[in-house]
Amino acid sequence: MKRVSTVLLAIAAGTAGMIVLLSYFLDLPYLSEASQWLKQTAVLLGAAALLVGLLNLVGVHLGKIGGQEKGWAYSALLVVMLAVTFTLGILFGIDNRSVAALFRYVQLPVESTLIALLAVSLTAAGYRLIARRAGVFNSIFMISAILFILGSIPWLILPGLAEPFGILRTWLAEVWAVGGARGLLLGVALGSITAGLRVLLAADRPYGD
Amino acid sequence: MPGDVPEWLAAIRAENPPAAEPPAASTDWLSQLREADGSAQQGPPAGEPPTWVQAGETGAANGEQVPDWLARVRGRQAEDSETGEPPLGVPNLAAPPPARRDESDSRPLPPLELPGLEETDSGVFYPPESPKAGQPVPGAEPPGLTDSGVFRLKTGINISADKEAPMPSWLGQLEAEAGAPPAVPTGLPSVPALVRAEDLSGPQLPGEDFSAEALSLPEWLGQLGSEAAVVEPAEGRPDLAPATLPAWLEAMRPVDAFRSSVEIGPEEEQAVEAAGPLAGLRGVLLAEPVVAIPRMASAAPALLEVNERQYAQAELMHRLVEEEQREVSPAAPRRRHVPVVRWLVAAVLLAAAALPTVLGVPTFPLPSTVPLELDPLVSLVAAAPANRPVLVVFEFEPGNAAELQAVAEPMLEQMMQQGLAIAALSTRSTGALMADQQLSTLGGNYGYSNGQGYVNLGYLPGGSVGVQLWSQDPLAVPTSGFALPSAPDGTQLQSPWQVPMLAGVDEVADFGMVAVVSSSAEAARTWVEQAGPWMGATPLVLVMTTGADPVVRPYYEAQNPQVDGMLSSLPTALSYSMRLGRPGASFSLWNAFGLSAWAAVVFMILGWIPAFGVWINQQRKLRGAQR
Repeated sequence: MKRVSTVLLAIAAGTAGMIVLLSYFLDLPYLSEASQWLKQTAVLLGAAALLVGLLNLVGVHLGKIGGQEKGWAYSALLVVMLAVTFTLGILFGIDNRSVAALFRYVQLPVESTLIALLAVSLTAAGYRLIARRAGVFNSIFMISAILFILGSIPWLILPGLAEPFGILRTWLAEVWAVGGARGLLLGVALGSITAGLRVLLAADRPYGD
Repeated sequence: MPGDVPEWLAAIRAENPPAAEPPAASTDWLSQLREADGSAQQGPPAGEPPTWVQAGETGAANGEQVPDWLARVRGRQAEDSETGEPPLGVPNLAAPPPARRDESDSRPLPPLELPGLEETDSGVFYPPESPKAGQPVPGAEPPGLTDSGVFRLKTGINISADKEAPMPSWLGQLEAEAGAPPAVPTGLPSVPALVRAEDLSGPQLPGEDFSAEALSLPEWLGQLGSEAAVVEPAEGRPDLAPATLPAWLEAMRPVDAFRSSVEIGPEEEQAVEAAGPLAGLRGVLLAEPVVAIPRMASAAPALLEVNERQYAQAELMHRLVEEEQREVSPAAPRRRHVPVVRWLVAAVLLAAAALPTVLGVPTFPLPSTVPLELDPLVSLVAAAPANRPVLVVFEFEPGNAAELQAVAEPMLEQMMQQGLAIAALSTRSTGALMADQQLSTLGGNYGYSNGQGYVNLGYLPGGSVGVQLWSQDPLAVPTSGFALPSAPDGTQLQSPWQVPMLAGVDEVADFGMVAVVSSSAEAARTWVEQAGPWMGATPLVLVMTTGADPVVRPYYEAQNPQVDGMLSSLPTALSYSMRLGRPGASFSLWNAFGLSAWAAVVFMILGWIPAFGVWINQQRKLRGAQR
């Protein structure tokens, strides 16, 4: 029975993928309509999955609160704020002034603070990396980072050095970095094609065995 | 039926042919019995032997001719008398009488049930086909004790009354009423004979041989006898069955391990009762309960069947008990690790960011060089048609707002300076809020308001698929909009496409320009790859963070670029603002940005120089050692 269901799922996934893929190459009205319908269904399923994820999140944190597990107070805070935001959004809409105030005075500062802490953590991590293991590649990495920063920031002393460092930074960014990014994008494209073919041929079954 | 002869009687006939029958004169007792059966059933007077016995004895004494079977019986009696054993069926008067139970200790026996038989009121069992009680059969002998003390059953089997056998309740009652010796009550129901008198060819005498060799039982009684066959007791052992428990009692026993079998040994080997009224007797149940007698514990209870779970629980319990007894040594104070480097970095960076903002010092020089991509971008925005709205996609999280809002600000200001209508969209749940915040802030400087100059299309779900569907047909994909304005007549608009400034937009290509403000290269790639094919000649601009810039730059720096404009990093935004002649957020962040970046560079250099020196020394030592 499980084998039959696996085969049926593979056939359904492969058929849907082939319809969408062929719609890019063949100008057939029925094929295009079927492709559109499949994409719209995928969007609806994604929205439903988001709702299911939200319910799962609430269930997990309610379980922590009920079991008085470690950090249950944070879970309680999360559930309370979720309930408040959800209620306000449902009752007054997401463009209500109270919801906008919650965003502007709670979410925006908190997330900006986290990014600021990330800057501190990255700086400390860079110091430790170079201080403990100053190998060849670590030195190259650190020198590149320093040069890139020095080419992007203003110079308080010796402002004349800003221009050569700017040129150096541009050379690093638009030659080395872009070259590496091209290779990365090509790799991503090839990987996407391979992954798509494996799914179409049912070699990979992300929808379950 | 007349003429039908039972098998057992046929066997007797075979052994005693008619030729050997005694003369008719010697069977007067039989006629007497027949007369008695026909009349009132009364036994002889107490203490007097029956007439037929007297006749037999007289005949034997007179040397009368006796039949063969009687001679054989008498011969066996003679042999028994020589050996001292009483003949079968004759009470041994020489042996002491067995102890009889006190009547007060006796309990009423349960009613006897014999399969295939029916019990009368008198406790006699009849076969179903035989005449019922109270229906005397001519020629049949009544049940009960005969004159010779032999109890006669319906089958003709005589059982000695002296034999220790369970006495029927009705007989016990009769004995109790009449006293000893028991008198045969009159008027008892007659016993139906299996063989009528006229069918009997051989004489029936008291004390006839009922041994297995000489007697064969009727078929129905044979079956009964086989079922209720009495096991002959072994030599010198009492006639007791081993103690067994019925099945229902066995089922109630909780543990099989405690099952025991009790075998009762010979009486000589049994313990003598030492206490109570039965003291000195053997073969009686001990007055004291067995459990009260000290004895060796049996090994059966030690055979506990323990499964793995029980064993694990027992081990856990054992460990808990052991740990309870152990003294808990005071835990050594844990040495607290103070992240000195992290605290120092945080303090220095915080001071570097706060010092220029609060005190206004130091003041860094403005960038003297202009990035290469700035001029094309400025020209691209300047060339955007004024009668077509511009689509700006806000694809960043609130955490990146400080950088991206500052970077995107000069481009939005240029659009507003040119009076371009702006439509905002986002595939992130917070994107619509970010767009509303920035557009409302900047729009106030240029007379823009919601519905007048800009409109927020809201949230676009579905990720890359949603972007593709929306790009194919924007009007077909419902977007609820965010903070939709009211119509000129005061009614609330239900769709952002009802806003007049979007009246001429039917597809993506109808926008004058598409600008994607993104903090991630993935979101930027999605718009380039999914919306690009549907944009036609509409230019696409990417506004990126410094970190994501190199990943999407190949789309811009190509022979056939898919991206027409790029804007990233704070220095480029500051140059853009300087180009516009309006110092914006990038200008106010410039000093704090410069000092913090310098602090980070100093930290890295301070960490790298000594570590690099150590590494150089190690390499020298390694080379010296190799030489």
